[in-house]
Amino acid sequence: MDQEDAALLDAFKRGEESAFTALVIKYRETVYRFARRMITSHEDAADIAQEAFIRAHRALPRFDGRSQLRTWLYRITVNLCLDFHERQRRHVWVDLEEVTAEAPVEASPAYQAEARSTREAVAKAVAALPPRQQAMVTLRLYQDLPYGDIARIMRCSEGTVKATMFTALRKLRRMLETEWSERPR
Amino acid sequence: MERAATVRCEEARFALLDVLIGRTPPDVRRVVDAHLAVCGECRQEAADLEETIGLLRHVPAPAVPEGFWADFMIRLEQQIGREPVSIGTRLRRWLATPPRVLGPVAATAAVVVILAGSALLRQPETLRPSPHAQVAPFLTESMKMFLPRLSETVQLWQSGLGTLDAEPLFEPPHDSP
Repeated sequence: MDQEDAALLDAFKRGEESAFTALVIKYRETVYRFARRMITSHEDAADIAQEAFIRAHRALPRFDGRSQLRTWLYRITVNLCLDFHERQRRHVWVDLEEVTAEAPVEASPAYQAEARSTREAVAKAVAALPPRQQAMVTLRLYQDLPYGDIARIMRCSEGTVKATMFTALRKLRRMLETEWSERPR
Repeated sequence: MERAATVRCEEARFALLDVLIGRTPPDVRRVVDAHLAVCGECRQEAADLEETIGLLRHVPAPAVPEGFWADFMIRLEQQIGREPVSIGTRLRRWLATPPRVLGPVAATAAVVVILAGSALLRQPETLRPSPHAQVAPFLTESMKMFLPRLSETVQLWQSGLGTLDAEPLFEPPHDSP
């Protein structure tokens, strides 16, 4: 385990609450960004990030340190996101305003509109993937986690992660092709 | 080059994922490149994958509203503060206390016990007769009359004959009934 994490974990187990605060500060961005990619709505993603840290606080005294703390936190967050999706039950929706909130300023209004529309289509397609595929794509492409870590988080083999990734990317490709073919020229 | 010719499409496509999204050792990259050079289907697959991944990466990282983290921390602290700490957790934390902390704690506790014990067992000083009290029985009225600088004499007595461990030179006079 990461030395800094190990020291903070030790301190927390001795009863130093400030060590937990340090861990939250270290990982809050990672947890929130993953949740936001999975959930899209800022409020829901923030609630999931909160819940992830509450659960971590509850379970940390039993954390044996055999896996990386980051991987363990991801696993909690992934499970919360999958539960959220389960509750939503294939209710695919994307807050397009939020997805495109950070669109950089492009050269011309036409180009900007095109870029925005592409981002919307991609975000919508990712949100339409089955939650486990969405989680794997997000972990690999956006969180830049190695396949081994993703396999540990998702509790499957590395081969399964790669096969799922492949299926997900093909599916995304098809969805985007359909989206673009339906667009008015 | 020979291995490239024998690598199966499935293998090459799995390796493609590493090539397109990750760190690939040069030998794996060479094998994939060699396979793509001879397999049109995989070449098309690679082009599609590359484009899809490019589009996915085009979506920017979600923005965090201003002041969000401060609110987040406050809300989290409040929520965690409401969580009851079970006896099991307290016990686990106590058991998790590392020996390097227990050593100084035990030493401090031992010092406190020793100090407290010695304070309780020590005889109060007021019970011991003071040098003045020891000398007093030997001083008669006539002595006091003839020795106006009595305190000096008493000090002299204390420093020599009147020390605590000194044997009395003579018996004190008996009180008249």
